[in-house]
Amino acid sequence: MDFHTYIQMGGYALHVWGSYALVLLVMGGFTIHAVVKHERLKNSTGAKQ
Amino acid sequence: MINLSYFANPARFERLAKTLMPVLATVATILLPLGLVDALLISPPDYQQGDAVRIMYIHVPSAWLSMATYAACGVAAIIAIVWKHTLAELFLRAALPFGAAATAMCLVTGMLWGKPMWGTWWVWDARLTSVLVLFFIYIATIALLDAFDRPEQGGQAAAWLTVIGLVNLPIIKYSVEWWNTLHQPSSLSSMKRMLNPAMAADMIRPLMLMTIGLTCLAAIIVTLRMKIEIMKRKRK
Repeated sequence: MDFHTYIQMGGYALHVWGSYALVLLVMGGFTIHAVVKHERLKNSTGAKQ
Repeated sequence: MINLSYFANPARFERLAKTLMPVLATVATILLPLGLVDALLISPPDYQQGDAVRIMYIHVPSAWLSMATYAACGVAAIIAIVWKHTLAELFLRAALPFGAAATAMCLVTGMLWGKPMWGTWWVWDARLTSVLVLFFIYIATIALLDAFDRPEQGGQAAAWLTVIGLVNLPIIKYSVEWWNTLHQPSSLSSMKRMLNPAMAADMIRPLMLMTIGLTCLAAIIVTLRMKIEIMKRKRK
């Protein structure tokens, strides 16, 4: 199967890739937000002490 | 029996999180790329649905996460009401927004799957409607958390609403059996179904990889969010 045929996902490209992009966005967003905020709070708490 | 109050101490929770986080991170880092490759490249297209079946590998884990997060919130809410443990209330603050996001993911991926398969984005059938109700319960509970001057009052009000909302979980689970729905019945959730699955092994494998991988990532997110809530509370 060539690349173009694969990307088209049998005519369901927008549905399939759209779903995966959404999950990546939500899970990635929550992960980055949690890690960044945790590190920032940890560092500021450490600086206070 | 596990003594729940043992884990209600923030210092013990921090120690437990310190031990669990590397394990969860390792499992998620291994399983998620494997699951994605399996879901998008290796697993075969369905003989009826074609490549649209690949949406299942993220729709089902999203549905599992939305319900599992709510069930965990239900347990935390009971602990918050009965024993007034601050950690249980902080768990609600950490987990409820994530649960709402998982429910939204479940609804949107379901719509994206429904349109090519059913010919419509949405139907008011029992499964879809009960999951939408779960989303609204999440939103209402999150709104209650910060609706009072004292955060403890908000936590208690949210805990009560979470417990009331628990009634919706069996309705979601059994909606496809109790009512005539467009949504298909469960393929794996019962032991009988597990032993005689209505799905090919090539499809069960990526589904399991994605479900376990995303569950580990969800556990990392909620644990980090809980640590943030503990730090914020300590600063006050």
